[in-house]
Amino acid sequence: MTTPLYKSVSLGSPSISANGLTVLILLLFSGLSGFGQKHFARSGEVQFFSSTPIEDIEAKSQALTALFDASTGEIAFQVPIRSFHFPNALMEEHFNENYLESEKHPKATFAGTIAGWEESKPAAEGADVVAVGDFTCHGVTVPREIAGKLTLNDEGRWTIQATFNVATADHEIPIPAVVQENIAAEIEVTVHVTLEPR
Amino acid sequence: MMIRRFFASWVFFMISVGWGGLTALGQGLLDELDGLADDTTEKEFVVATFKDSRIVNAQSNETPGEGMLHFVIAHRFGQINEGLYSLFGLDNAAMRLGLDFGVTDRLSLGVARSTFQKTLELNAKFQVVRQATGPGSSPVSLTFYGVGMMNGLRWAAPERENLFSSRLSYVHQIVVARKMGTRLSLACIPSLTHRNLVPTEGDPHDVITLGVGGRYKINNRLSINGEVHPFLSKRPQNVTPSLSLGVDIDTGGHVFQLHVTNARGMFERAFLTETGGKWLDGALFFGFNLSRVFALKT
Repeated sequence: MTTPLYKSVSLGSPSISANGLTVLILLLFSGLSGFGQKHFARSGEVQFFSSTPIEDIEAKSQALTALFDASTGEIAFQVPIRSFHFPNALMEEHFNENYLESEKHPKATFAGTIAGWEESKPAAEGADVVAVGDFTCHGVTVPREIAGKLTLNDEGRWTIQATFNVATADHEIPIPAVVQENIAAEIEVTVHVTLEPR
Repeated sequence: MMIRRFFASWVFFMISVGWGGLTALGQGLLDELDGLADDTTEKEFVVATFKDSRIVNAQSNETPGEGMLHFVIAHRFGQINEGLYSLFGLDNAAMRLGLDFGVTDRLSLGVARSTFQKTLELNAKFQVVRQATGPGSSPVSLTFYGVGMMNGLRWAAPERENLFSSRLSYVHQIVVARKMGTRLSLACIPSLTHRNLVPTEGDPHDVITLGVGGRYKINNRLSINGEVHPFLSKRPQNVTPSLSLGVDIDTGGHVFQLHVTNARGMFERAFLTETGGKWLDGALFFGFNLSRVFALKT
């Protein structure tokens, strides 16, 4: 059985070779376009905000990196914990030393896919999308669905904007009783990044 | 037919391989990003070598940071070997109140008052080199600390000619510190103490000590600290090197430092050059530093 089949796929048969070539070209093309459609950002912004009746705490990083594959809708973010800056040096020290333990867990990451991504649907005026994937912070990975806005501007740059909540308990970040009234149980995180084609 | 069926399965195979490849590529996106992001590695300063600006008595490399006011209340109770009569020293206490203001992230200026010899101090601390990783890294931090102290007691012999300069003494230090990992931090603290007036002619005006200190973190909120200041130059009479052991408790808002030390003075000249009691004789003082920072600038 196998021998005649094997033989029949040889390029000697004109009809198959044409089909094979088409598939090959298609595969090649899709591969190339896949590479061509990756977008990268080096200095995206992440902000977080903890609000309690006693105090509001805000920190900001401008070191978010992001990679977005427009052909597949796959997306990855990463931010060094140390890049978050607080208005107050002691808060920043406590954030790194006592809460996020940035020496042990230097980064927060998200890797996922935009749900129902269709490449043929670029969103000029911004589309509401949901990214489904894994959010890792303080060494704890939590599957998340994060809603955001995705915009493709005239110069072919993608802009991503998202606001979501992170519960400290989900990531095993212990908040001692003394400061429990100063630090919110859910921290609001805002991401804003513009990606350039690579 | 056979050929067609084979071709169909081949196409299916290729598509699934293609999909598989793409998915793998997507999952590897984070790794790819990691590779790209690594190019952006920047100089990072090491934070929290010590929890507070002091190890026990001696300075650590830490400063309050720009716009921060660091308020320290410190007590040293009486000698523990006084026994139950004075509740192991708790009946009386020497106190120091200190305010240090962070002019920049690296420079702080401070003023303090100690009940011991009614001493007023003015001090300055500057982080000359900060321990850092990445480009322009440094394995250690070098911090300068300078303090001028004024004895505020009334003259013992007012009928004599007394010079104001006799009230003054100075200490200059370089704190060489290194955070060895998340738990262990070590410091080496060479100090030069100059005393304008000394008790007897046989006592040196200038005293050099080489302090060694460190902390070991038990967990994020608790550490064990220690320091000792042996003499490199001629030792003043009836004086022993100060040796202190303690714990730091970080409550989130305050840092409590509880310790046992043979030095009762809480400013540099006193604990470096005037420590009298020996550990082995039980001439020890229990004490604490309680610190809190206030943000003056937001």
